[in-house]
Amino acid sequence: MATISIPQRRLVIKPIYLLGIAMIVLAVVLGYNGLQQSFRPYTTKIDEAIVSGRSVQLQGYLGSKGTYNEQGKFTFDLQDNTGKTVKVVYSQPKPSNFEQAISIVAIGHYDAAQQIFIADEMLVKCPSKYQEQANTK
Amino acid sequence: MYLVGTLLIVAAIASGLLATVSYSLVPRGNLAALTYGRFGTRATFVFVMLVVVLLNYLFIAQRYDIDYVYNYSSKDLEPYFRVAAVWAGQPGSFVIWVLWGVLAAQFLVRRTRNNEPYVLTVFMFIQTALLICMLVRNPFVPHLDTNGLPFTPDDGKGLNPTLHNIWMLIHPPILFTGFALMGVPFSFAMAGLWRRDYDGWAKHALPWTLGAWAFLGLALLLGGYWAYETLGWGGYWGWDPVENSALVPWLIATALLHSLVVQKSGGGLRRTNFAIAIATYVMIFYSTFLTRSGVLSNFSVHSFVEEGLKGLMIGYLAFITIGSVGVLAWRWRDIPSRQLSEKLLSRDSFIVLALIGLIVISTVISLGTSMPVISGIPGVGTALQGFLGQFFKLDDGTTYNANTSATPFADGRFGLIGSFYSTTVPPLALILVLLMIIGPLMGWRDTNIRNLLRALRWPALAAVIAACAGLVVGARDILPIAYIGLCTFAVGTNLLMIIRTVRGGFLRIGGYMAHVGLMLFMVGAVSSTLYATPEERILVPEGQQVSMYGYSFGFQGWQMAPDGRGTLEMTVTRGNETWKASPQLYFNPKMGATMATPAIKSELFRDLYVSPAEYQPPLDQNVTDLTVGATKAVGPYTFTFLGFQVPDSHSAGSADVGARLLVSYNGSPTVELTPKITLLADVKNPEEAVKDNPVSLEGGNSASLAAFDPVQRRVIIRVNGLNLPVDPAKAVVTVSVKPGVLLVWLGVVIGVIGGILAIVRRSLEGRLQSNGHRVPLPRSIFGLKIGGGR
Repeated sequence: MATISIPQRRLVIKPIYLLGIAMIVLAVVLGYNGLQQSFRPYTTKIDEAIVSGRSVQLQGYLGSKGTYNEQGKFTFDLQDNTGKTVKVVYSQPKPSNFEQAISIVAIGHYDAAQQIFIADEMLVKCPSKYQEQANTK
Repeated sequence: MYLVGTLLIVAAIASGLLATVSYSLVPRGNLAALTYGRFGTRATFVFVMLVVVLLNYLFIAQRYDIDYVYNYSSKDLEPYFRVAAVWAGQPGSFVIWVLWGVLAAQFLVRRTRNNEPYVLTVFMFIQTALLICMLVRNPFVPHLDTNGLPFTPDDGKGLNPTLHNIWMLIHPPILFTGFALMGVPFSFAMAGLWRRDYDGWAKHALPWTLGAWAFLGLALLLGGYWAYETLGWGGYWGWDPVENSALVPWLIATALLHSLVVQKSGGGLRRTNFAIAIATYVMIFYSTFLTRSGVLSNFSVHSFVEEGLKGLMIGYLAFITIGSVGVLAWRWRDIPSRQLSEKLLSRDSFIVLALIGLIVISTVISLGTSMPVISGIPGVGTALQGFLGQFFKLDDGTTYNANTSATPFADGRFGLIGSFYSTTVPPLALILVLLMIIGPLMGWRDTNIRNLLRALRWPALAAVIAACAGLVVGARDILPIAYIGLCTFAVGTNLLMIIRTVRGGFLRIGGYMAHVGLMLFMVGAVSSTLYATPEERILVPEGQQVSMYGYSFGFQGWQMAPDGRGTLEMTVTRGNETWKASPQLYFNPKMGATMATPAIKSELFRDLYVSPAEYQPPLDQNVTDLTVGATKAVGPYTFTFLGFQVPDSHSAGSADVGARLLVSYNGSPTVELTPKITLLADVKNPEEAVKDNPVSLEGGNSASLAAFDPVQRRVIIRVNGLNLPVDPAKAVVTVSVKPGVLLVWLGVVIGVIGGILAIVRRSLEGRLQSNGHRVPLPRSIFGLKIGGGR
């Protein structure tokens, strides 16, 4: 059988490969930096949020009515499963449907000096139709 | 109706299975099965249509014995919203998804020639799978009372006010058209692998991909506009998991249609195309899984609850992923590969780079969105947190503390906030902009650099001017200036290509138009994100003017419509121009939901966004409202409410209620006083039955007990004689100025029109080519000649 000599393919580094790899590296770097800023552990315990002192997603329930404080910031008490409460100060206006919330996720961090939880963002969970019991009239 | 509806769904599933199985037998030579396959496909459509008709009938006939109707409709709902309510809930969204899917299937029967049995086996399998979801989330389930017995309420709960608007009528159908159509390119890809037809499928799949892409893009726009204009979320895009999960399939579809064009023109990227086609559809299912299985319920503004579909969705996702990747792996070595252009300066190379860019961005977004799911896997979240905790230095004032922060949280899950995406995506997207500047000017295989540079002259000049203009207007950071300059550059080069190609038929400009639209969108998105002013909360008293961001706000009054929709009648003035702004606040007691609709003043370069927060009724300063233990001031007096005073024994004919107050005048020592209300019996004139017994205060005034509430233990105290003013009513609104929002809408609309031109072009080409003709594209539209003749 005649053998056809196939020239060994040399590893050619084409500019397009380099550009592609550069893009991926850039994405990894940006992603890593983004992760550092945006990482928010989820917790349902106020104590955990207080002890860690870092930005978290704190899930809890309404412990009081919401009001605006002297600085015009929205504030309320958040209660967790254990019954502990923490004062939450929100930098944005009162979220719609706040009074109906069955569960609130406050994203922010605990300020030990002022003893308040400073929320940057809030997710307000309203009673969903899928969970409600059928009501009899 | 439960029985009839369920039977129809089961019949649709049976026909879908018949179609799938019969079509799958055809390639084995069983030609008789083709008839059954076609029949099954038609029958599925008929049964799904009947399901839709029946569901519509139930809504229009107000059958509140059906749980779904009860939950989403009510007597006072307008008729066309009763129709739209069909897709208001999650069971109904499966219904329209399947409806568009089986409708698309009808266009695949007979028209796809040799591909028909292969394509429809896959496509009808998908539809059947979705029909099974529909059966699990059966929309015909009867309404049950707490004892589990069927029960017919008098009225339904009504449509959620956030859904009760025009966007509800059009957004979901368009979104699900996009979802349904995405199944077609996937099915063609699977058919191509199955038949070992590695080129033909791309030709057929291209117009369908473009269609799905255009619908999904339009749906993203409408969703954003809905949130911005009606729901008052303040922005059109929040990087919420739900939004991301629709964006990622769209990005991958963008990659797919570019790489399909490469294969069409030069035959390259065969394997890549299969992989991307698979990825597109897997991402559609993955996004459905994320949004429907409740895994993100604590990480998204959109409320999701576990619907009992989690297991099924995971099963489908696993099957589709493993199945399609398996088939591709099996054929991998069989697929001949053809070299792309060796030249870096060629369209081939630039599209490949764009594909990498799009896929990298999609990966970043999906990984971010999936973080709550990935970290929810037992053990993984804790391990990741422990690992990541070592590196953390947060930007919001909290720092890593070696003693405590390294300890992972008990619940291992974590999420990423929007800043993750807004720091990673814009720089990566800028690379795509760079590619879009030069890419379109280049030939498929090679480019004359001299000609390229000549073509770049005018667009480059425009880019420099735009960047300088951006500097003058106030852009200071490198990224937005780069965006303004480079996007203008890309608009310039793509306009140049439009001018060059329109002579060859106006249908050829679709792609370039889409690029122009996307560039406008990007400039708008970057400027409205980075240069939007903070949302400032202002109180506007009735009849007064309050200034903010160069606008002056006035409040004329509060209008309450009979349906409970309240409107803040406001005026906004800037310079000599005054216009009305009517933000609305709506509380729906039936749903227990508040809705705030903003007032927006759109100008070419900026939007003024006025979002209602609250209406404060007029406040009488002579009156104060006290709970037990509370201290409040009225003029020079401070009152502390100690409790009620009730008489020890009822004196004949009258009863007293008193409020025990500690009163202080201008900081003098407190005295205890008890203003009373006396109820007299046996009085002819009812006006005299309630008697006010005020107490006199230091300073010559008196205080009365104006009202009391024994349940909440509250009293209202009025001071007589002070005659303090009554505070006017106030409108509380949040105000922000967002530059460039109009460009966002304009850009997407231009992009979608470009997409539609491309769809028409590619489907004409596909049809003509398969008939063996050369492709003459029409040169005029509605008889109007566009571009020069030959």
